[in-house]
Amino acid sequence: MGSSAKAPTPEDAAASEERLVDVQGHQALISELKLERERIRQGGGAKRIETQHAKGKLTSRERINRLLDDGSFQEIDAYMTHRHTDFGMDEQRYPGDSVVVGFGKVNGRLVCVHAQDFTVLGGSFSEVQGQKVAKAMDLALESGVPVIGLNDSVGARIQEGVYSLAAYSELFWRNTQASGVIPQISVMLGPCAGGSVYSPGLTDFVIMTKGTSHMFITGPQVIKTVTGEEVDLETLGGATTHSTVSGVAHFTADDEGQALELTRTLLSYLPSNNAEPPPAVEPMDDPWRMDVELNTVVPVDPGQAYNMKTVIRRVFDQDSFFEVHRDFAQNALVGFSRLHGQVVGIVAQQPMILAGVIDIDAADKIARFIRFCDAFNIPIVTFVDSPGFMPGVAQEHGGIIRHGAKIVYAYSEATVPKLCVVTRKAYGGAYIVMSSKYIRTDLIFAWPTAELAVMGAEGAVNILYRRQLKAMEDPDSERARLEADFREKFSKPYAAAASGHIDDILIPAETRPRLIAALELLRDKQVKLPPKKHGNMPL
Amino acid sequence: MTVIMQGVILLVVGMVVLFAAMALLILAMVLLERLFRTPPLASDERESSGEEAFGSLARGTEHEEVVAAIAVALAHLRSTESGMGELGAALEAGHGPWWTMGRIQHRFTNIGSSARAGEPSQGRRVR
Repeated sequence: MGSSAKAPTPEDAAASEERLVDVQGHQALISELKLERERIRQGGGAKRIETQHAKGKLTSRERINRLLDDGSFQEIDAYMTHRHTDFGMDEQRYPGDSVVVGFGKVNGRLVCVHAQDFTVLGGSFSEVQGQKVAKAMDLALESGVPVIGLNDSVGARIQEGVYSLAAYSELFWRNTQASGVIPQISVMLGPCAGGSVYSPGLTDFVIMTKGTSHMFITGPQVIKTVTGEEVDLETLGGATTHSTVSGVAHFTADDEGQALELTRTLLSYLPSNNAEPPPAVEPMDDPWRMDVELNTVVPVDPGQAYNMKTVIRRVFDQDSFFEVHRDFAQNALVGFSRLHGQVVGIVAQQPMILAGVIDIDAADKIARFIRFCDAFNIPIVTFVDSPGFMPGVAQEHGGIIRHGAKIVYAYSEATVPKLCVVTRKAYGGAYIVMSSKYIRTDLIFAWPTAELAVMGAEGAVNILYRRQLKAMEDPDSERARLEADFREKFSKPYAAAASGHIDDILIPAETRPRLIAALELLRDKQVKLPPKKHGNMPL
Repeated sequence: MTVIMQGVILLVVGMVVLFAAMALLILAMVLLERLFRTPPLASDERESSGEEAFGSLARGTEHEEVVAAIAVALAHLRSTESGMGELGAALEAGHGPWWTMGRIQHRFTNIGSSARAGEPSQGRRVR
């Protein structure tokens, strides 16, 4: 083997030199790009990153890396800078401005993400930030993938005046357009004040970190000036307040890591868009599992409470219940779970809290959850123990009629498979609104402990026989007899089953296989709604 | 000797070595199996009652396995008896053409309805 090496000609030497120069030129360009990338990665600078870390907070890029699958983040618009010069803004230009946007994967599924960078001008919402987030949202909407916002900002950039406000409104408009098309999640990791709260407020889920995130329209100072009320930041708009009192936050996390993990878990229950079914997993639990403990969960005495979460955990796939709004309106329960690997939305009443009555907050919580499930093809399973609506002047004046109507509206409008299990009380209007047959629930089952009536035995006897009982010498024994008579007729589900108001009576233990079988039937359910622009929900 | 010849020789030698090693291994396995073969059960042992067999199985750590096996068998029996042996199979299969058709129809209906009921026609003028 031998090769005859040809001596380089002067032409070859010239070409080689030219290539070398060319490579050197490219190398310089690439080095410049690398330097630029490094500058972008530094955000507002090492000192501000340190300050951010000292507060126990991560930087926007660190947050994105924690949220997304390793190495999947693709950043866009990292070089955009603002064009403003007033108030010294010409000396404060940072590539990428105050937000990092792009796309990546969570558990292998694509998402778009935008994260406010607090190290750059406090993450203030600028014209450029608006443009970048809008682009991410447009990409998400056109590609049919969820959009996640990691919020940490002082609010609108005052130096930019109306430009900043215009950018906000672009965002709100997009939040509305994307609503019901792609899931939108807001993770609050810092302050969010003024008008900016409306973007997370428009999204499907809000996750807040305890101690570091705050949301409010007007701050404590303004409130003190205007109304004279004194309130601290945490009480006014902290994670605990919004997750227990206002219901703005759906989830709370102890720290940023937990908040981002919650986001990943939440996404595992959601489809990428409204044309997709929710993501199913390999069924790990026996579809035929019949938990005999269920047979005795509901006490025979209707006055005794029991924990509806026990029922849910024993019926659905093991460890699959993911509660939404856990600390808000606890008399109602909503959340996602899995039934034979398929995602379902669960709505239930909690007899442990206020006997499970429906009040204003519970109505809002239930209605919003139902609408989310319906928008994203998630079947709804309702567990009913509905003793009534919360009585009281505050509730009536607060608009329990309007709020309660939201539940009826949401159930009536929903076209996804709707299943219902009446575990105990199903009284009057509070039963009708809770996925009753009459608002087009597909299949309704009752446990032997179910009571379907206009009201409880005591109340009914008081109303029906008040005069007769007053006239009697010994009304107590007669009252007891009448109540027993009423209970015999209505405290068992057989009368309702005989007239088709419920579809079957189940031994509680067989609820799981029966729900799976029903879900199988309704897998491809199709319902046509009358043509309309949109309904007029009692908001 | 050409390079090709060298290659061929190396290949042949390699294969011989490999097959010889495999033959030795098989031989060793056969020998070991013969040496440590389990003695066959006596005829009276084979004919022992089912109850005794179950009793011996149910002892010690194997007890839970037996219970689990019975539970699985019962569950299977129950499922076949009730004619729902494939419970959940349709869910695992995912949505069918009925759903897909419905989605397409829904989309078209929405477009149609928004034109009919939602937006006023371009040419309409209100006096």
